[in-house]
Parts: sequence; C-alpha cells; structure tokens
Amino acid sequence: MRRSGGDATVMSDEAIALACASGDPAAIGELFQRFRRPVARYIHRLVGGGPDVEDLVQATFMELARGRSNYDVDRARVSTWLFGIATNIVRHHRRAAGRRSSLRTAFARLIPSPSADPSHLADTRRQLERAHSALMELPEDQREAFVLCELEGLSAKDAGVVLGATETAVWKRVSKARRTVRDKVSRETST
Amino acid sequence: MMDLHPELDAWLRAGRSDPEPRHLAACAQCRAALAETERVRGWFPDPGEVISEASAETIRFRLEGEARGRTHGPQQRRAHRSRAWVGIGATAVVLAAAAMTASELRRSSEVVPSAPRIAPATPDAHRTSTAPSAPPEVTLDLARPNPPPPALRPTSSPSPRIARAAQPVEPPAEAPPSPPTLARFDLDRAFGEAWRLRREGRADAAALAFDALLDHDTGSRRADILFWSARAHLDAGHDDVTEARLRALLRDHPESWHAPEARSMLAAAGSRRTGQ
Repeated sequence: MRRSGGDATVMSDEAIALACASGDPAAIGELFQRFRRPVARYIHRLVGGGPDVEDLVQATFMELARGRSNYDVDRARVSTWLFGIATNIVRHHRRAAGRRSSLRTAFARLIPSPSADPSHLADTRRQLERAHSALMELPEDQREAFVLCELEGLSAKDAGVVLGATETAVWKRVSKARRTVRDKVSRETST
Repeated sequence: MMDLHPELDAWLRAGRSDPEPRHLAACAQCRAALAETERVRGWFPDPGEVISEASAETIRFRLEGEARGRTHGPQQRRAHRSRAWVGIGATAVVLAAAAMTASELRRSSEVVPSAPRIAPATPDAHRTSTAPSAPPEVTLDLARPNPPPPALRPTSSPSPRIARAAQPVEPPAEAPPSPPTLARFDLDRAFGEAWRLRREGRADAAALAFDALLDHDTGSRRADILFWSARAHLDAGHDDVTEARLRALLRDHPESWHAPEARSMLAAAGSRRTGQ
C-alpha cells in the first residue's frame, strides 16, 4: 500500500486491515494511526492506566505486524477485531503478571470543569476515584463487557464477538457491572 | 436499577447508535432509568490522549520495522541462506576447477632439463652374478649448468579453460566501504533517544542524533530517519539542511509514507524563501 497520492487516506478501514495481512508496513502504520486512540483508551480503562498501557497498545498492534492475527471482513468490524486482540493481550498480561492491576492515581487529568469550586472538584474527584476503584474490583468478564458496551459504545452483539460470548451473556454482565458500580459509589458517597 | 422497557433495552444493547426510541418521550420511568445509566457512564470520562504523539510515532516506527522484518522474515531469510549456499557451492566449484587447471598446467610444463642420463644397460647389467662386472655407466653432466626452467606455458595450444586460467588475474577493484549496520534494537533505541531530544525541545541535539543515524545502514527505515532529521533541522532553524534532507527523502524514497508531507514541507520552504 502506498500513501503517495493520498490512497491510504481514502481507503476504508476494512481495506487497510486486509492489507495488513500481507505485512504491508504502511498499512499497519495507517491502521495504528486510525485506531490507536480507541484501543489505547480501551486498554487504559481495562488496566486502570499506568505505564503498562503504552506497552499493551504496542503489543496489540504488534500482533498484526507479526501476522499473528488477520482480519476477517465477514466476522466483525475493524474496531471490534482490534478490541478483541487488545482484550486477549490484556488478559495475557494479567495472567503473566499474576496479579490484578493495582489502582493507579491517574485521575488528575480526568477532572473536568476547571471553573468548579474546589470543594465540588474534590467531591467529583473522590467520586471518580470510587467509580474507578469499583470498576477495577469488578470481575474481569464484567469489566470488559462494561467498558466495551458502556464506555466504548459497542453493541452487545459486537462485544460478544470481542469477548467470545453471546449477546445475552454480555448484556447480563453489563447490567450487573453497572449495578455493582452504582451501588458501590452510592454507598460510599452516603457514608 | 429499575427494569427497562424492551424498546429502551434494545436501543442500549445496540450501542445507542440509532435515534432514541420514541417510547422514551412518553415514559418517565424509562427516562429515569436512562438517566441512571448516563450518570454511571459519566463517572468514567474520556481519559483523553492516553499515548503521546511522540510515543505513538515511536510505536508506529517499531510496527513498520517489525512488518518489514516480517516481509524479510524467516522464510525470506531461509531463501536468502539457500541462495548463499548456492553461491558458496558455485565458488567452490570454480576454485576446484582453477586448482585442477593449475595442476594440469604444472604437469604439462614439467620438463626435466638435465635429467641424469643413464647409459643403456648391457644385457648383463641386471644379471646377478658373482663375477665382477663393470658397473652400469651413469654419467651425470654436472658441469653444465641447469637451464632456467621453462615458462609456465604449454607448448601446444592450450584449451580455453587453461588459457583463461593462465591469464593474469586483475586485482579486484576496491569496493567503497559500506556504512555500518545497526541492529534493530540499537536502531530503535537510538531513534527513541533522538525523539526524546526532540520532545524536550532540544532541536539541535535531536538533529544531530537523527543525523548520526544516517551514518549507518538503516535499510528501509532510512526514509523515516531522513524525514525526522528534516523536521529536527527545521525546528533548529537549519533551513538548508532541512531542504537537503527532504530532497534526499523524495529522491531516494519517493514512495515513502512521508513523501507527501515532505513535498508540502518543501513547497512551504520554497514559498517562505520567495516571500523573503
């Protein structure tokens, strides 16, 4: 694939993903440019941020560069396919590390509304930390389903492709995760 | 959380991509349920740029390098090794032929100039006999000096192979020294270091670091390095070097990923110059 003439910029995601199968460096570079943000965001949310995120994003796309995962246009959208690879990478990372990811203190940049007063800001910050903590304490399958469906905007059906589960099973996990997070945050806010 | 209306549940399941269900306008309970889900979602704001541009560029560089390594991967390396063995075999055959030719030449030119002449033996010469008989006449012409050995040239017309072998061998022209090759790991590290300098705003140092990479054989990554060297020189205000790098990039790697941007950078540099 050659970018000169602007070909790469008008190629569809699917065409570029298919070109990756041939080991085309430009295709892999272009796919990375297009999808690095959602993939990084997804991994960031799954592992709770931290220095591992960059490595995991690289490892996700490295699977493509090494030809270990090829896109099947009939099976899923490109983003779904990439989320599937990222999920496996994160799972493998967790198993290899032999631990659940520790909670990170990467909230400073998550705080919106600079005009808010300091006490409100502190409350918001605490609430976000509790929510984050609750998310990290969820079982892995619920957290993955919740992040994919609620935060990344995938349908339960697509998330099922990513996670290797049925749409119904995914949706149950999402509902359960949502309930758990809400209860945990509400409970701690009230105390 | 309260039970959701099937229409709302289906809409949420589908990822909220379709327009909101009409039912929502009429059902306060579903609106409350949706507000609840939105509140939970609101606790997880977008983390923004998780990976910096510089890190992303480094990762992309590694990915493309890995892909290139794949296209020159084990299979290709095996094929290359096979070709190398064929070459070695052919060289061995040529050397063996040359050795045979040389020995053939030696044999054909081996002329003993003054071999001791042995006088023809009498019939009795080898007869064992107790009777004293004259010893065989052996005369060595020691007084005459040996003539110089003949030139290593056969008297008869040589075969083409022998003729070729006899031709003086021109010493091979001295090949220009090839630049040293960097291992991929070292290249990644050096590239990352150059990028770090650029990220820190040390444009001069970054330009030097990128230029140092150009002194090595960086293979197909040379286009990337040329481009980022040009960028670093641009940051450092070295317009002439910037243009030289960009021109080198477009000349040597016209199909490079960076070629379109290099062209526009060159055009911008040209218009700046004419504007001045």
